[in-house]
Amino acid sequence: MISQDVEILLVKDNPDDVELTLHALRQERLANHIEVARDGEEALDFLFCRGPYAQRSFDQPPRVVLLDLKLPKMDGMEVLREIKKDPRTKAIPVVVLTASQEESDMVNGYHLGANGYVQKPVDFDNLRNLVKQLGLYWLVVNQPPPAAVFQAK
Amino acid sequence: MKEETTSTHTIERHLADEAARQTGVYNRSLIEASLDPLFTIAPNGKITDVNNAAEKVTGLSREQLIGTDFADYFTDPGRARAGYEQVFREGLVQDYGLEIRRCDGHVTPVLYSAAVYRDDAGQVIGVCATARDVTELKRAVEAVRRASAYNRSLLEASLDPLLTINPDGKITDVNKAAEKVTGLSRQQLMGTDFADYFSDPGKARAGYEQVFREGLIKDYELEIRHRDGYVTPVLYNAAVYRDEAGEVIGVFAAARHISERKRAEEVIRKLNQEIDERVRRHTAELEATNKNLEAFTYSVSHDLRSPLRHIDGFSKLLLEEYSVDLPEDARRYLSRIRDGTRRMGMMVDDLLNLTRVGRKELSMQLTGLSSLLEEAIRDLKPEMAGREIEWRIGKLPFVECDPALVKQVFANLLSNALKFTRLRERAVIEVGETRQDGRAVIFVRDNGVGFSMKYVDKLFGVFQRLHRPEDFEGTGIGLATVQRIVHKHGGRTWAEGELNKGATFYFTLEAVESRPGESNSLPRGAA
Repeated sequence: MISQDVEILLVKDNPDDVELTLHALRQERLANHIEVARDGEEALDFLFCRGPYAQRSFDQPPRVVLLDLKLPKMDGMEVLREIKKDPRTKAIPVVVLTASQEESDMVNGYHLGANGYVQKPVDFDNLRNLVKQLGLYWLVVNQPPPAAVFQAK
Repeated sequence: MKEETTSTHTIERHLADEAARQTGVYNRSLIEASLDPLFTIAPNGKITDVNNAAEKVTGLSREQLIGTDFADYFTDPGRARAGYEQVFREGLVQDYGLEIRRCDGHVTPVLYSAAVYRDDAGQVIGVCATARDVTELKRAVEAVRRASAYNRSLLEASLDPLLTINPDGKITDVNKAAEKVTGLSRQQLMGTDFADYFSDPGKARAGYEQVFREGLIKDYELEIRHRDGYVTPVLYNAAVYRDEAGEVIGVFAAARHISERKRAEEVIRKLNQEIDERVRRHTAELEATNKNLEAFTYSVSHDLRSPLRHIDGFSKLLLEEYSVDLPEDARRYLSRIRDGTRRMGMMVDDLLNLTRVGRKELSMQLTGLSSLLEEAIRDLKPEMAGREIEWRIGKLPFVECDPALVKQVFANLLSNALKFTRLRERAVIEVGETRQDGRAVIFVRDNGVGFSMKYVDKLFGVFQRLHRPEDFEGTGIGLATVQRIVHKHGGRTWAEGELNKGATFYFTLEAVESRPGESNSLPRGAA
């Protein structure tokens, strides 16, 4: 289950959401390796290479983290804060993917260093389109942080 | 010779008689010249002589009086006699009060002054007594007494503490109210420094000096201190008073209790405070309730979105991936499910938007409404595709507002106008400014299907719709959002319409003086 080349870490608790998102991503054949974390703690374990992910290495981060805000145990904002305050993880692109249209969530997200903020539409076609664009951008268009970023310090 | 002697003697005697007569006449004229009743009395108390004034005051003639007991002519003979004896004992009395009784009963008050007179040998031969008629004096004294009693009763009748003060600042008179308010008696107060009885003697003295300087003071606030320590707030009115020569001889000061007034003011103040407090509490409760309601609406809307997304997503996948396996009806049902989901999604989004508007803090700035309108029209371009629309855009003012929200007002109103003119070959949409009571009123008018004024009250309600969904789609939240935004700006919204002719929506952004029951109602002068 631990892949060396995880491209997307999808942090989402709702299995329906997970399935629809994965479906959209796979349909567009944008990602081969998608890791799903079902709560904030699991997401941090993965990114900080601990617990069940102890044999992972910091220098092989996902190309992008798609982070939901409403999560059990530890919510998305806390996860974001943990990622962005640690020099080993702060360069990992994190895109908040949420149903929340709260301005305060957006403000907090960007303050904490989110690399993007995307609102999930209700309509599945729109959602699929959006996921496709996200995948295209982060996995194809965007240059990921060079490995040196994660080895420093 | 003898003749001569006799004659000489006679002449001498005659001369002597004449001299004596002249002296007598002189004395008599002196006596008679006196307007005061005059008696001479022999040591035995008998009258030896009287003047005209005495005859007048007794009503008896000289002849009748002489030789009678003088004490008989007084209302109090004993006192008359005592006075007479005092004269003999001491040589004289002065201003000895007696009352002479006339024969007809009339009484004349007099003041006697009397002295003994003596012969050449120094022997007392009688008393000469002059009586001064003091009827007038007595009357005057009585008048003064009455006037002073009247003045005093006036002073005492006053419930306000009154005092008079001499130029040295010493109290010269007080009334009962002043005794009461100080807790000190008249005797204790008289002659003391008036300033001592105030909680702020310096201010009292300053007021007093002002009276002397300016002649009077009005409503001068002071506090009288009771000897038990409590104070009575008063308003002083004081004026100088003068003697006949116009010289200031003192200050007359009247203090008006303001305890009652102050207490009333205090009661009013407390009541107001209570009302304020109650209003504040109710407002806070209302705000809290509103916030809870908004939060509830928000979280419900928010949480509803996820399952909606899932229903839509999976029914879409079902349609796409298993379409061939599904009978026609199943596919139709699925697309109805998706339509329903989409409609509900829109409603949830609009509701979310409405609650967001309600919770948003206004960020006010001076904004040209024309440019907001242009932006709103530009955003609606997709809805105008393939339609013939005549825009009549008037001059719009600059106003202080939250531009993002007011743009939404335009967007919602224009979107409605576009929607309800859809069946017109040529839609005419007019936006402009009109004035009402000197305030800017913005209107959006269309020639669409309009509405019956019967339902005008429902227009701005949440989820209220006046059209069937198959005729005109909509969530029934757009106008509610418009109203919410306008109310947040302190403005009003209203509408006029006529079925199949068109509708006009009005809004103001400044507070317009409210009239009862007007939030959703007609504009002034509307049919």
